[in-house]
Amino acid sequence: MCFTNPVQQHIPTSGKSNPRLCSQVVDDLDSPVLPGLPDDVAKHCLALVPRSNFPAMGGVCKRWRSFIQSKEFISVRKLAGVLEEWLYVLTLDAEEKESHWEVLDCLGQKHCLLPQMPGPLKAGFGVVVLDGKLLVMAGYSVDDGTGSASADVYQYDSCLNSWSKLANMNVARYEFACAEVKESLRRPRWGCFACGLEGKLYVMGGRSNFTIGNSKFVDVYNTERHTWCEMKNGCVMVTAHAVLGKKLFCMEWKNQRKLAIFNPDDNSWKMVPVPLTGSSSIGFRFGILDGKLLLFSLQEEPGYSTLLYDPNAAPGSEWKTSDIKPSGFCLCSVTIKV
Amino acid sequence: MSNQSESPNPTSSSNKITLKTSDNEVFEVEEAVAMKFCTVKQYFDDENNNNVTSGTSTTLIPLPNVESHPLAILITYCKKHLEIKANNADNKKEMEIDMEHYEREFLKNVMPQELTELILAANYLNFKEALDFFCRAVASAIQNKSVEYVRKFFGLESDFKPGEEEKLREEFAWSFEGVDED
Repeated sequence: MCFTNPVQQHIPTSGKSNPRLCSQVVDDLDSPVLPGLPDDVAKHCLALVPRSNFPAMGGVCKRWRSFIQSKEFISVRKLAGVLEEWLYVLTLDAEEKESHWEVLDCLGQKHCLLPQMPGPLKAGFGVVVLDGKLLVMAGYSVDDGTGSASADVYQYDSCLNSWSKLANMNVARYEFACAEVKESLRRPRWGCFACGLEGKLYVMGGRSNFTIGNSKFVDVYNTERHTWCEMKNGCVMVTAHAVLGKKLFCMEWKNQRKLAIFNPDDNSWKMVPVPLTGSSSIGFRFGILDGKLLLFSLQEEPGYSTLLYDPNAAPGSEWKTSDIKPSGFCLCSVTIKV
Repeated sequence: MSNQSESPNPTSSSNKITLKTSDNEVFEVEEAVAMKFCTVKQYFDDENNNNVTSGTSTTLIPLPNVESHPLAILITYCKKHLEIKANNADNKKEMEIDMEHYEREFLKNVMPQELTELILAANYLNFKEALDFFCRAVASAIQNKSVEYVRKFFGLESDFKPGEEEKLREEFAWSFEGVDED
């Protein structure tokens, strides 16, 4: 059975007048996405296929591949209301020798491993999600006892399930801040983190060369006005952070039993106690799935179930436990919606 | 003029609208049906605005981009769609179940090559529900199918070099769900 008739009127015939062009390989961007259909309709059709099929679809032909890895593909899926959210967790095995990314679907089920991340095992790298792609940038690696900073940037295409190496960063770095909006800072700062909230970039934590100890200053960059300003009410020594909805959730080293929630509307912080589960020595890493904050344990605690905080739940029932659990320690996690 | 309407849709008037296809076939359809084709509705509204004085609607609307075969199928689909909607006016869930059932049966009688014709016609007529349904049908022809099946089904050819193809295979060996039998 074939989708199209053997005689196909819709194939571009631009090569007809020039026999030499005919023998050339058709440019993959000129060929239709689906023979016989206008491209906008064909693209809508492809976008309706569930996400787990994308890697195979990317292997059909070059035209499909280039569409599936494009920004447009995600826009079409968004328009059709079929975006699917998956959680990616970088875990470390019990011997702390090997790390791998695993992926959980929107229900937090079906663990699946990503292909091995290229390059050496690193720490202190930056992670950011851009247009359905995960960027793992720079970091610190130890090779034969010698440590070095790296400028490598690797990209994981979550639709095609493939890693590729991008151009190096200008400077090798580790323990740096990165977020989707980037601009240079007024003063050097290190050990900090950054996040984008409501079109503004917030840089917090870490130290700057103007302060002794940890900086309470928050550098805020307004991307519309292209101006920096600062506030002196930041968290210090943040061990975990995540942006959920229009708020920033932080965990401070000095108090791992409280969530600090930053509201950019009035620059206020709200402290929410974390319910006691098992040992009090637990440290957390954050993950986000389905509008809820997940607190993964940093240590292997046999009795620990992942805590879940739902900021939109009725007062008093924000906290729940969740069955979502990575197979090893969570080093970092990202959520990709395509 | 006032024949008993086949459609139990209480809002539908008994007005008929005549559509003429590219192969010169003439279809007389209920106004409620024709109004689901936004292209027809647009034409109809424009006509009415231009002839405010003439009360009789004997409009013949030409459809130069639509052939009779897909149009007949679209009209059947549309009638059923309106009927299911009217029968379950106060129960959206029931309506969806009925619609799903009907659509499943409907697809059994549609050949893959007909799907292209239907999509083109629904796209030209701007019949949103049908276009959506046919696009979903195309998507399900891709879902959980092998790359070879998909290529064959849509008449696509691989333009990857043999080496590239092998590398890609490693990538898409990974998948959440298994692949159906071709």
